[in-house]
Amino acid sequence: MSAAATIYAHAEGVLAQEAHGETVLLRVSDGSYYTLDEVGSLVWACCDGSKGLDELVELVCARFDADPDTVRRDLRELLAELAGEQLLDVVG
Amino acid sequence: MRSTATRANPSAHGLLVDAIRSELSGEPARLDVGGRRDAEWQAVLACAEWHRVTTVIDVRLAATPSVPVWVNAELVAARAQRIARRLLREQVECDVLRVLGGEGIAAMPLKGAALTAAILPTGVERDMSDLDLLVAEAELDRAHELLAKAGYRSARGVGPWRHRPELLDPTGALPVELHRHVVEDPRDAARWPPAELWAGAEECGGWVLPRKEDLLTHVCLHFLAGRSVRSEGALSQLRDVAWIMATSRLDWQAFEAAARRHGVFERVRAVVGTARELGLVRDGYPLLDDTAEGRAAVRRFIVGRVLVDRPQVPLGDAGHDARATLWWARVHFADRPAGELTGRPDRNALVASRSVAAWRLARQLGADPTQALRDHRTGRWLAGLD
Repeated sequence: MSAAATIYAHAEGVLAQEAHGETVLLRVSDGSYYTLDEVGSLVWACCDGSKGLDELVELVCARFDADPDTVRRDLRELLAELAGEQLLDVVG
Repeated sequence: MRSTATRANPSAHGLLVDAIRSELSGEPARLDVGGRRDAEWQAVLACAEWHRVTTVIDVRLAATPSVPVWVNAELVAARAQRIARRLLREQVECDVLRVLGGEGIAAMPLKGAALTAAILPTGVERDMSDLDLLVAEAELDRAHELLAKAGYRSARGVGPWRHRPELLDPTGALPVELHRHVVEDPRDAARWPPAELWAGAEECGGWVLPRKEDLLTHVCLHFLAGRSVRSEGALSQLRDVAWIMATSRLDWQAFEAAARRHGVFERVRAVVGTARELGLVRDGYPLLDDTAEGRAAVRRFIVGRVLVDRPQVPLGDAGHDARATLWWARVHFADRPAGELTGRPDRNALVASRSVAAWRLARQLGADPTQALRDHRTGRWLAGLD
């Protein structure tokens, strides 16, 4: 499966709270927490188990008026990092 | 007390008190911070952390243009940690109530958890370092065992009388305390049976919570007991008192009658008076002591035990304001019948430490320490040291 087709969803046992444009994620199993900035918060909110990388890039570009190639590269890194930290699950 | 809001450069404590007042009144978020150097800003942040009111200054300083970028960066980092802690606390709270409820054990959230659920308006945060739950005495052991089986482990072997030894949630980050009562001392409990707490409990959002009067009393007792040795968290606790007073319509006549019957009235009155002197609670409540001497004593107490951002020496140690200490002790023991302090000091660390306090205080005040100790044991030491 290509990276662009990969679909992510919030992992079980992860709690999220948006505050002042940022999102705090808490992994309940060990109490670790992470902070996402405005872009990361949008990506997190959109990882609902239905959208692939292309759609996420489109959403971010529409909101922040950014270069699609740069956004794509950054999102790949961010999604891989969130999945590596067991905050996101690959569901498709 | 004069508002510190108009000072050119209010002290760290003044700024925190202004922030709490601003929060309570719903005024615009910006604060008058004056011109501060970095070291002074560091003092503000440390003081806010010490008093557990960082959440109160957070939004207000972010909205204030002259606040340095690094200060706001520190506040943002603290905010993330606080939110994560709240998420964990909410999760643990649901888990504990589910585990206990599943076995037919009722548990009543106390203090911060109850305030968050029933008192604080949406958007007003309160930091919590633990989760306090009231459980009927007869169910305490079973509740403890059930939680231990569910992955909660004992953090300390011995706890105070009012709650079982602390448990830690499975992540090890959040202490959970199962209380048998809200008072510190079994002799107070004899006057205020826990069954009354349960009988007065209120339903709120599917939870059983203490009624507002009991919540206010508990917060006040906790504040005053904590001031025997330290100032940590003092402003946060007074903020709790102020929010309960601001949002609850209490029947003060009935409240006073119950508080006197429970032997806690003077303590509650002293704490509400403390919040009033800081401008957090308005004048006019019937339980307040409006005498000039009473208010002066509260102000001395504020200077010596509240607006202090470091651990305090034990009661009666040299160098401490003896009059403030004496006032604290008077209030703390005011509702106790004479002679109750005789007891058995060897079985009661609190009373034993007060023996030392009586001795030292007497020396500070130029009284006979031996007589003071004798008076203390017969319940007359407070009068004897006047």
